Amino acid sequence: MSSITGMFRRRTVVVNRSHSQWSEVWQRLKRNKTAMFGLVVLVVIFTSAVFADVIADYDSRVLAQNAKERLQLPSLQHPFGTDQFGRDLFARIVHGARYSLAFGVICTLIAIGGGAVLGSASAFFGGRVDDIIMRAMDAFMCIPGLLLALALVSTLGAGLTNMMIAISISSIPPFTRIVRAAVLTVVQQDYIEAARASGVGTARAILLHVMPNAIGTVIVNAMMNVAGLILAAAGLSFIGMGIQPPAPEWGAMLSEATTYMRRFPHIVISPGLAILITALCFNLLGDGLAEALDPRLRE
Amino acid sequence: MSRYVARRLLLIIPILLFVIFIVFIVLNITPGDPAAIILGREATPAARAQLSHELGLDKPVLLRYVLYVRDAFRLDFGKSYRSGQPVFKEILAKFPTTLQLALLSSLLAALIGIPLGILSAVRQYSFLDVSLTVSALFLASIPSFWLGIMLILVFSLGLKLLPSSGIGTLKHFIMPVLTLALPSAAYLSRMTRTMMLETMRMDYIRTARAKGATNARIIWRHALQNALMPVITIIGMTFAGLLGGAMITEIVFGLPGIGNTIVMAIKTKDYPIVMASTLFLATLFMLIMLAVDLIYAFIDPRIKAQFK
Repeated sequence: MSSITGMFRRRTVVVNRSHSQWSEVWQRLKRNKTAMFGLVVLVVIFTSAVFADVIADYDSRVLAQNAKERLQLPSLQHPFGTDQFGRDLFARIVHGARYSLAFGVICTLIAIGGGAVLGSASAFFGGRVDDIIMRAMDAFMCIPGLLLALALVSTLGAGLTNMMIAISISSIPPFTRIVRAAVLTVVQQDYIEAARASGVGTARAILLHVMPNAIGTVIVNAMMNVAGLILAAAGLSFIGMGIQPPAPEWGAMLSEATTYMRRFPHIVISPGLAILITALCFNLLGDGLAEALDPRLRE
Repeated sequence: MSRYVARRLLLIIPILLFVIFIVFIVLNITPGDPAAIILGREATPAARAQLSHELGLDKPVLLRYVLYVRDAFRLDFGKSYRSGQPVFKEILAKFPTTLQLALLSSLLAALIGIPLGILSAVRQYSFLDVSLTVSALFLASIPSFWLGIMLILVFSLGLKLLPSSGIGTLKHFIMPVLTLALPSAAYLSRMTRTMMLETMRMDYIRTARAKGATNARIIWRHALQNALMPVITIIGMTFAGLLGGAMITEIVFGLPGIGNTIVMAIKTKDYPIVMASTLFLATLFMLIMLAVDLIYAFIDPRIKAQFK
């Protein structure tokens, strides 16, 4: 039962604080050239993924084979050249961005959700709960991530949804650890004890008071995780355990193209560069955010 | 100290039991019918049922888990569905290739990464530091299989200097080792840099400076020793990670290691091999991390003092 003034004060304090904090972070981020470069390129990639159908028609340019135009070098008509079936590589790469971004972003969000629930429960309840959750996570982390995803894909069957489940599950443990560590450092501070003493429930305390303070670390790691998952998803497709051709997934495109790379290296260069640039931009942004959120790193 | 070692060793057992459990559940969600895999599609239902019974596949999952654990402690992991050979023997035969690859790669990564990390920290924000930061992020973003393909394109197909696949000579290892070592070296140099910068801000470094110690002495004698201790953990993790993470690189370069075997086994649904190799890699991972912690305990007087 808090008084009206108490509620009022708490609200305004939270809003003001987070507002000024985030605008400060944004100011610092804006000054970081490499991070801004990453952000701008990511916006371009996201936009072209959303409007992929406007840029190039899926059926006629991404899937339709054209024997007359096989393995052409880059030209005005085909900026990245054509592949072994005469399909325009530029159109395929633009559409492929949908897969990579969906994998990276959605799977990371799922992993954060799982990690947030498990990690904060672990840190907040401590004792037996903490022991069980963290030992389970230790066990998960002993299994190489890609291998766990592979095993899951092999039993669930290849395909978009199953691959996303497999990849999300294998990146829950790191986020559980990050959230647990972040929550632990916050939980011991006086203002949380004050909140609990004034009768704030556990779930509310975690959501309102602990999470906002742990979110910086989570965001930075999320950026790095998206980059890692884009590489992992492409890797799975490359060895034939992910998205199957003729879908324009970048890893799957590379896998098909290796046969022709001796004489036509351009068909292995553009899909690889697409993966590299997308992952690099997420890493640049993550690195910049880490510095912007923790100015002590800049000393 | 011996109590610490014993405690850590015992802790491996429950984690290992849990790893077996996870892998068991994962591989039993919808594994298809192993009897059908072994006998082929034309086999009669009766023959399949007979084989399922012989393999113990008609028993409940939990009972099979208990039996598997019992056999696993005697290093009996069953027979491969495909070749009929004992699984453990097959895995051991593939292990040397993977081990050589991981050892050479982590050695190279440490030789490149640590000195560069120290240099970056000592000259923070110099041209060298900034370009190392950018190239580290660059290397962290390269898909390993594509790096491998690019190396093959340049050194095998273009310059015709190195063989693109197979094993036999040291030449065969150059490109796979580079593919694995470069990203690890980048990561290691970042970590070394961070540790070194943190150490340089410690009070005892300020004390040394106040005493009038030279810059070189501060770096070599005071900072380096303390900064490099966490780096040992990271080298251990790199090595352990490379043992299990070289799958795709092994495939790109056609190396007959454990990673290649696992992927083949997963594609052909040879589950005994998948189970046992996963366990094998997870056990190695834990033992390496334990070894790292023990080395740590021996060289760090602060930890040693706790167990006196």
